[in-house]
Amino acid sequence: MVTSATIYKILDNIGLHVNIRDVCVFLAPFFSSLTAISAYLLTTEVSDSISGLLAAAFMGVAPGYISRSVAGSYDNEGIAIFLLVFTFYLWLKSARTGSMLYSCITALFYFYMVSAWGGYVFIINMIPLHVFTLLLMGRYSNNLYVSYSTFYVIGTLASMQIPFVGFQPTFTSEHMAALGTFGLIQIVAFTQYLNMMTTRKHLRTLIRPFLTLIVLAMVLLLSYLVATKKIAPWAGRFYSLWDTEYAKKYVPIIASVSEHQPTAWAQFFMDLNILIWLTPVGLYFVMKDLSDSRVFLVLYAILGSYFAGVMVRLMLTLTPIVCVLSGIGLGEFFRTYLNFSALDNPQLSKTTKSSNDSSNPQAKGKAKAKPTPEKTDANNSSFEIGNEFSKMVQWFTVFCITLLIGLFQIHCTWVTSNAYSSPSVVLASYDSKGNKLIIDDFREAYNWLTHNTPEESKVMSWWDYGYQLAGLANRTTLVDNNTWNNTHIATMAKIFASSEENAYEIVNDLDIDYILVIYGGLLGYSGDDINKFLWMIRIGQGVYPNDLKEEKFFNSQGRYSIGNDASPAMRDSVMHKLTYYRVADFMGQNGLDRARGQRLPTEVTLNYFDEVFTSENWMVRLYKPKPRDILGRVPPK
Amino acid sequence: MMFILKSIFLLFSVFISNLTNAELVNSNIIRDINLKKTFPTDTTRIVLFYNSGEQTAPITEYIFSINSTAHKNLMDISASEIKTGNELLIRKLETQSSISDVDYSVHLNSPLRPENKLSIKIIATFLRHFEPQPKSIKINEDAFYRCLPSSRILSYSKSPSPVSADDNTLTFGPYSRIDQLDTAPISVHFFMEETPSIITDFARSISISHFSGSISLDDYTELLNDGPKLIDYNRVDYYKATIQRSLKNTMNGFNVHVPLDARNIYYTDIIGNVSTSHVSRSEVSDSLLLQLKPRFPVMSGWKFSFNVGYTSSLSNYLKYNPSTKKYSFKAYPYSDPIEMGIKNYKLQITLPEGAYDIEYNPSFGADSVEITTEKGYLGFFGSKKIVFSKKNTSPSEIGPVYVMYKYSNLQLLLKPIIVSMFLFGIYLAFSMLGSYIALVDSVKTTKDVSKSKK
Repeated sequence: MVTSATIYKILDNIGLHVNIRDVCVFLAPFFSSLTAISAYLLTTEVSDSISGLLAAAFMGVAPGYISRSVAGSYDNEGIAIFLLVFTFYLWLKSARTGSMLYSCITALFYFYMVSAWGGYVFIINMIPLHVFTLLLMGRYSNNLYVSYSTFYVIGTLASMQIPFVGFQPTFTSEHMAALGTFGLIQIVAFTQYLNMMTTRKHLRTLIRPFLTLIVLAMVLLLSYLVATKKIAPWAGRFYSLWDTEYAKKYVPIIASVSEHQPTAWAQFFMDLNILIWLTPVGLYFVMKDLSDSRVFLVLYAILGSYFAGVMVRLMLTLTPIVCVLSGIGLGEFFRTYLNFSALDNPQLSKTTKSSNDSSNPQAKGKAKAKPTPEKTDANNSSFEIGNEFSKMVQWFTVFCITLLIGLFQIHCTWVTSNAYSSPSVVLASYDSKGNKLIIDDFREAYNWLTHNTPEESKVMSWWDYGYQLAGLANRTTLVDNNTWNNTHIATMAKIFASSEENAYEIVNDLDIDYILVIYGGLLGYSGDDINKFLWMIRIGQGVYPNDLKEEKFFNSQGRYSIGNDASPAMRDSVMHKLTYYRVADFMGQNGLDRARGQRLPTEVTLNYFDEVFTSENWMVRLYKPKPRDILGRVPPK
Repeated sequence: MMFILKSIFLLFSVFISNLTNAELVNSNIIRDINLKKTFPTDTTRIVLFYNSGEQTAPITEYIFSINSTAHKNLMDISASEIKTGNELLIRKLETQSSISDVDYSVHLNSPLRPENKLSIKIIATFLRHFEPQPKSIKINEDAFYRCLPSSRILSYSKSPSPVSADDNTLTFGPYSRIDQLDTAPISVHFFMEETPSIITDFARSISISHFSGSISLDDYTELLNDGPKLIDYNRVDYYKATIQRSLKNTMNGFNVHVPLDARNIYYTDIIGNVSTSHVSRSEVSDSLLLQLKPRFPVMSGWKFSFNVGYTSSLSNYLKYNPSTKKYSFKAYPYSDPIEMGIKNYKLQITLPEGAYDIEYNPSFGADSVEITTEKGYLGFFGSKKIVFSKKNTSPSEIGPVYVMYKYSNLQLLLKPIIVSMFLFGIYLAFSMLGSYIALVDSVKTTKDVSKSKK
């Protein structure tokens, strides 16, 4: 947000008076272009520029990232992924060169990332993990020491300036790994220093007890602090990364979000397509010739794919590394198969290869050497035929791979246009003749609220619609998409699940003017409130265990039914009544709820609430609680 | 069918003369109030008689007052002599005789001498605003209004008598010997089929660009269905009425004409594109018909606002006068001559940057004209913006506005020059930086070389 405001002000000052809205719309695409550039830099850092270009190209089209970078998706993730990739690039560069300047810049970008996205925790765990692994592998170097120490100190101090983070780096578990690694690297550095000073034997006797003591003391201290809750336990969202069932049991609000569900295999294919099998290829080449920076890629790939498997949303953090590794894999491939000079003149190819190697210390080009030995072994006559044949094979393979990449491009375009380009607030459907119909019920109702309700009215809805109501209808909401406080969301759930009489009391206590429910039964839109109702009850149950019982909402056959055979609690609930009020009058007594394929309930009465608006396709229904009866009649007349 | 109330309709106005001592008598007054027109009119015909006492000075001024509640909706007022048909000058007085009235002074062209008679006519036009009675209705219920007319009159006040009614006309009076400033309220309660819609706010912004040779136009409209408040909303009833084509009191769409060469037509509201619009060739020559549907049916008592805009060629509106060396821009204040009242009207014309010597000529009596400076796209000095505003008007009342200004074609080059200078500056800075770095490097290497030589 600060970013878009800054861009807006700069543009405004140089005389380009663009609308702030346009800045917001084009922010994500602009940053995604920067992401592609940083993917190039990152890949070039560990491999060569051919792989870098391929990685950048993949980054530009991979649907996994496009989901957050299409024009109009104004989200923190849009800039956060750029910062993630760029910070990693800077980190690798600083770790390789041991330059303090680069680690300072890394820390600055880390600071920017902290201010932009809660996912900064990934960086602050990923980099220490990299350092830790290098230490375990015995790859300690002074460069690493300089860059990590600089990065950690500046980065942590800077991140503490963000109000949201504050003193968290000193006491929460998420940040402990970084602190521990920082301590460890000091010890290791000290050991190295002693190593230089004394003989090996002396060192051993000196270090062993000392080191054991320190480690033991630290472990004890840590466990004591965790046990006494001095160090905050992990937040629910992070727990669910380890134990996928955790959220469902303890924090239903996290589990209820579709983005927090484990990723389906189809989703992987949809978002990554051929990159899925190009990644292991890249990983193979990376492992084959391991360097400090390459270790980082391997770690990132492992963690990234694990996290992406746990939560759909984290597909986003996996995408960059997949693109980088695919770039490396494909780069190696092209280097091998497009190297015709090796066939024509083996002698020449050797020289070019060696010159290549000397020009780029990172690219070792071992794979490139593969075709050469066969050729030098062959005698002259068979060389001619073999040469022709190999050329054809080479051309054919290159053709096939290029075709695949072309198909991948088509797939990406298709996914982007079909899955990620439509705004979720406007739906599109096609009639039997193939004409596009636009279903604009949400905006219809939000606009109605803007124009035809008093400005200070308070609208109650399920939390999914909170930001939309605030942004599009300009009305006060009781709950919105900020889910940090579970209790008021649970209170909404309680209202929806209570009987009309009880709900009316709470509604009046909370001073609610309008109630909004989403009904998809007429269109067959399955994301409506009745389908979310079970989650609402589960969330409500956590706070009001005495008032809400999930089992009560299943009918005698144990089914989640909405029709005439629904359970009494279901039929009495405000949610059911508000949703199905007058629907049967409209659809007929034998009407079908198209979202659930069940018969509609025929007798729905409503005594405490008045219908004030229903949108064209009945998707959004607005109700107003009746004013309190001055004579105290129940229900109010 | 004409509906005319012939009466001394005291709810609206009273008459006084300015000379308290002189015996100026309204010897005969006939008021026709036509409520059936889109803009109700109140025509008062007065026969003045100067019954001279001690005073002999001729009378040149007659004061006419309008109830301040009614005055809020006053669109236009004019006075004329009946015999000659000559227009009389009428102006609003700054000082009011009472809080409840707004006074107008009619200047008599031929002063009224003692013992003489003069017949004058005063026509006041109002925006339609009737008070709904009952205040709220259900879907498709008939809407009734107080104080106004049609063939179905529910009730009317029976006093002061005599009152007689036939079909469409209510006649109050005649009454004799009425004191000045004497009032007696009367009211009519009637049915009206038409939806009493009104545009509460209308703002047209036109910006002229000589560079692209086009104008861009944006109309902001805020619509109000001025009927009774809707209660007991029921989508099923609405649906039934729609398929039976018997839906009442609801605005479901409207048409706007735009020029044939209009490009980039849009129809949006505060939350983005309204997906229900259609463009087709209009029957009116040289124009396109834009069929607009609001996001939701604007039912009784509801509101909706939207923006319509497009780009059109400048040459259709701009003429150059070589003798005065001035450009003359003709702006149409409204797209269609529709019969609907506008409560607050605003026309903003943004001239190109560098326009000077500005003159304007609104053919409608704008309440206020303002010239402000505004920074435009890549603007450095700011462009002049002229804002005309008027209260209580209608599209049929406001004629075109002419704006004349001088503009040098050299101004066209200003923006490209500044932009290219800016880019060139960046290029220069970078290339200088590059050569500086190269210089430093070469110095370093020569140093290294000299070192190694040593």
